[in-house]
This record gives sequence, C-alpha cells and structure tokens, in this order.
Amino acid sequence: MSSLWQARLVFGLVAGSIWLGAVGAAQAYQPPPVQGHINDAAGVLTRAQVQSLESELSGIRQQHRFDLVVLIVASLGDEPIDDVAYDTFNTWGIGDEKRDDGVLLVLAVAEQRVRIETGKGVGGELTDIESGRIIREQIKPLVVAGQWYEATAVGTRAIAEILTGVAAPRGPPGGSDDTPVELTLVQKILIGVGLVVVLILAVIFPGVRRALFWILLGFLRGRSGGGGRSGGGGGSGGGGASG
Amino acid sequence: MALAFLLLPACSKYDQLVSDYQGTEEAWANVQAQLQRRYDLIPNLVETVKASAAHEQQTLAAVIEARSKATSIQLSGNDLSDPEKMKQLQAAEGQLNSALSRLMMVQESYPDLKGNAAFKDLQVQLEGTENRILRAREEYNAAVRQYNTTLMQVTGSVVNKLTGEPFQPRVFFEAQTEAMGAAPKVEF
Repeated sequence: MSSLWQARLVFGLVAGSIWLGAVGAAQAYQPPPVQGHINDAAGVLTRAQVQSLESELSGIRQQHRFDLVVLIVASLGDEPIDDVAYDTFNTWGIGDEKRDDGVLLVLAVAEQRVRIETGKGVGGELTDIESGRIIREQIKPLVVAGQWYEATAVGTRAIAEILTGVAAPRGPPGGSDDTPVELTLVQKILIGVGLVVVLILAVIFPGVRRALFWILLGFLRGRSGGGGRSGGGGGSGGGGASG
Repeated sequence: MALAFLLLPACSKYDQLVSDYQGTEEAWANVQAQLQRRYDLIPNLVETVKASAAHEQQTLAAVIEARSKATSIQLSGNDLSDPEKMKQLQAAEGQLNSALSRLMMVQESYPDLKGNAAFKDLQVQLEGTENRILRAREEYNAAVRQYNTTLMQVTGSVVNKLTGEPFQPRVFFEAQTEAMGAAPKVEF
C-alpha cells in the first residue's frame, strides 16, 4: 500500500514538473482586444481605410457567413508568427463554434511576416497550399513594399474569393459605397403602422414581448460586427500557412 | 438514503473520469491523424527532391527509413499509459523530424528545386502539417493533464480503486528538444 502511494507521489512530482515546464515553454500570446474585422494594432491604416475594409468584410460575413478577421501588429517581439496567429485565433474564437469557419490574416510590420490561420472547418476549401500561394504571390510583395492597406485588401479578397467561389466586391479605396435606402411615403406609413401593431401586441401578450426582445438582441449582435466572436467561437487546429 | 449520498458523488466522479478519458482518446486520434498526414506527404516530397537532386541519395534514404520506422509504431488504448512505448514513438518522430529538416536544407544547393512550384507547395504543406502536429500535441497534453489530475485527486483515485482500477494515468507526448530546434523553417 505504502509503495503504491510512493509511486503515485513520484509520478505526481514528475507530472507536475513536466506540467510546469510545459507552461513555461508555451506561454500563450496575449492578443489585443478584438475591435471588429480589422484590428490594426500597428496603426498603419487610416481610419477611412479601416472603415472601407471593415464594411467589405462584414458584407462578406453577412452574405457567406464565414468570419474573416485581420490582425496587424507592429512587431512580433520574440514570438513565432505561427504562435501569435494560433493564440489570437483561439482567444478571439474566430468563426462559428460549430462550423469552425474562421480565417485570421496576421501581418507583422517590423518583421514583414504574414500568416493565414484557418479554422478546422475551412481547411478543406482554403488549403495550406492555397494560403501559401496567396501569401507568396499576392500579399508578400506588397508587404515588402510597405503597402499595408493594399496587402490587407488584396489578401482578404483573395481569401474570400477562394472561400465563396466568387470575386469579392471591390469598394473604392478609402471609402465605402453604402448608399442609404430611400423610402417612399407609403412605405414609411406602412412601417409606422406595423410598428404600432407590434407594440400593441407586445403590451398585450408576454410571449410577443419575449420574442421581440430576442429579435432585437439578435439584431444588435448582428450589427455590432463582433457578434458570434464573443465567447466560445471557433478554434484553430494550427491550419494555414506563413510567409 | 445515506448510501445514496455516498454513491452520487462517486458516480459523478466516475463519469468525469470517463469523459476526461474520452477527451484524451479524441485528442490522441487527432495527433495520429496529423502524424499520418505527414507520413502521406513524404513519398511525394521524396520524389520531387529526387527529380532535381539525385545526388542526395543518403538524405533521401534517411527520410524514407525514418518514415517507415515511425509508421511502424502505432499507439492506442493502454499504450498511452506506457512511458516506454511513448518514448519509442517520440524517438522515431524526432528522427523523422531531423531527417526531414536535412532534406529541406538540400534545396539551398539546388536552385532548380528551390524555384520549383510543386516543391514550394510541398514545403508549405509540410510546414502546415508540422504546425498541426504541434497544436494537436499541445491539445493532447492538455487533455492528459486534465485526465491525470482528475485521476490523482483523492476522490478520483478512491473511485478508481473501488471500481477495480479501470483507469491508468496517461503519459505526455513531448517533443524531442533536438526535433524542436530542427523543425524546418521556410522562408519565402
């Protein structure tokens, strides 16, 4: 009996020391808080450029449902870009939890390095080979030239093209072409009447109130651009390519 | 009634052991899938290098040998509780790693090979696979850590003993330090 406990103690000590070693070796990279699809921690993009890319990516997200996020860091420090991308991907939980269809594009300004990290759900469509080609042929030349906006735009479009099978809409550089929808008077009245009816129903029936609450909540989450990425979310198995 | 109070926590501890055990099984299956992915990649890689760098017979032979040695070791079930068997696999994988990194260094002396698009694609695939192996290994080790912790905690070990010790602690799948340093780095 006592020898068993001794063995267990020794095993525990050994396991513990291995555990400590593993923790020391694999300290996870702490990404900045996620701000949307475009996270420019290096400050190499203008606000208009960020907005333009942001609207492009959220358009893709609404149409095709997959999540394409960009992180630009000033410097990697001593971390390999693979680790930075992997830890960021999993901390932010990019993509839908079930479909695991997130893609993260990481650009490191000082090191001129690029990585495309893919969730397990997109590894079939966006293979490492394709990621490697996009980096090698399209992104890397622009990165070396210091054209960060172009590198980001070209890279995200190339990725979106492969994932959706169609060319992504190309907005004019530096601005979005979203025009507000004009409503006729009749449409306005109809919407007004509809709202009043819904309000009356909500006052009378608690079930309608509850449904309304969830619809509104879903609407707000969908608009915020960060929805689905908060909490849980997809994980990466280390797929992708760097260059 | 009193018995029920004693049994309920024991049952839930047993359930937790089962689910942690399943967690390690799943994580290990992923490790094996990623290792297999690399084994599958090697014949293509060897053929491509051979076409441009026929003089590198020794390097090529070393990779083929290391691959067949590594594929001959398949661990499952109780093997994962056996440090000796895990050590064998680690050694074989370490050898394969260093043979592969030597093979990837060959390109420096063959501009033909370095410029070859098919070789570049294989390089990307190999690099991606190695990254996947690394992540799968991290996830497996995390699963083992959790399983072993549950098993070695007081209630866990008592429940295990009362049920006839169906659970054995599992060993970590560690990288060989040499292999870690020698993982092929690809620059474009």
